[in-house]
Amino acid sequence: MSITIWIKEIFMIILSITFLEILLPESTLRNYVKFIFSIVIMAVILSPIEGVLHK
Amino acid sequence: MKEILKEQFNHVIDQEQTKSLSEYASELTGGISEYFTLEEILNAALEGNNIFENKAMIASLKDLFFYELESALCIAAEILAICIIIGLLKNLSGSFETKGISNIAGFVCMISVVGITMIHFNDVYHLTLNAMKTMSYTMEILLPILIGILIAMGQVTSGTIMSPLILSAVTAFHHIIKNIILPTVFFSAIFTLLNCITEKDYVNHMAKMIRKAALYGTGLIVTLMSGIISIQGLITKTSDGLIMNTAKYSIDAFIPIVGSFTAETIDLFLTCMGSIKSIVGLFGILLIMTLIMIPVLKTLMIAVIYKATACLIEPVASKKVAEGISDIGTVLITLTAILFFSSLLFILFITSVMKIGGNL
Repeated sequence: MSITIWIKEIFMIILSITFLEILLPESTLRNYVKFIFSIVIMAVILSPIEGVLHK
Repeated sequence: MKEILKEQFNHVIDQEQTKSLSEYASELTGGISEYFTLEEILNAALEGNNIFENKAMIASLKDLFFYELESALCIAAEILAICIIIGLLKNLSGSFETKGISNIAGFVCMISVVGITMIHFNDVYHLTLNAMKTMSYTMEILLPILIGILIAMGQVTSGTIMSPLILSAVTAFHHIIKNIILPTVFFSAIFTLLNCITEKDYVNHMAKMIRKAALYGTGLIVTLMSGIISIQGLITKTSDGLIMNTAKYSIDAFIPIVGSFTAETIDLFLTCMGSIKSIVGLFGILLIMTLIMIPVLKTLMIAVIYKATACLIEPVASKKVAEGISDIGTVLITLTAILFFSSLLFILFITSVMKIGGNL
């Protein structure tokens, strides 16, 4: 069951980030924000490891 | 001889159970499995007829094929229409004030493509799950009958060892496929579709890795289980053959006058039981083959149509969409491969039980 939640989280975060990226204004900051977004996605993909480590 | 065989057949086989199984299967296969009932196979075996020589069966198969082709073409048309709109929006973006609006419109179109694809994938997935369930149900009903016949034929060691082994293998395999392998393929499909919405590749490799893991996992389990069952079958067959031959020889040699008649009667009885076992086994194999026919046909048809759609939309839509649609075709082929592997394993189980009985 927890795997289903994990997959859902990944799906939602990628979908919302893709939508947000479209709304970003054209500026030099845009690339940095995109980079931070991809770090967030990586963190969500890695999130099950956190649960394993805490046990 | 024929009467003896028929009478024994009616005594040995639990008619009600096999009838309920046939009805359930015919509901699922749209009536194709009705062409292979136990009685018909028995009659064909007695008269020496060809069981596949049936014009109605070929006609219904043809109908099924064209029905699936038609429904798959509808999906292709939907996807093609939306992709043409996406292409149009891309070219129109110059005339909008800001680029964002056309981007968002494209995003919405992409989500609708993904939605259509996901709905059809869900249908196929549930079809596969149902086919898996019915196949293991078929095995759970037929194997006790087959093994009962096996024990009646004097193959006591094989019967007592194979029965729990095969039944537990079937149940375990069904659970592994249902709860681990098929959901994994489903997740792979989700990631593949998600990847064609995003501008950058976020989960492309994950989708591919999960899909391959599911396929290799199935291959590994099938190899392991079929290996265990066939090796066990070979060993128990040898020990049973020893017991059987000793018993027959001692009746023949040590009981005066009637001994040789008794031994021949035993031989006749064993041949009849062997034929019944072959008929039941054949019924099981044909049932499993008809059960996977509809899911495999439908899934492969949709997969081929997706691949063809990917070729068609490549000039119009972006590269990402074409790749995503093509990848979904690959995921569907993986689903078919898993279903095919499992039917192969089940057929192998039945044939290994059929083989133990000896000369038939």
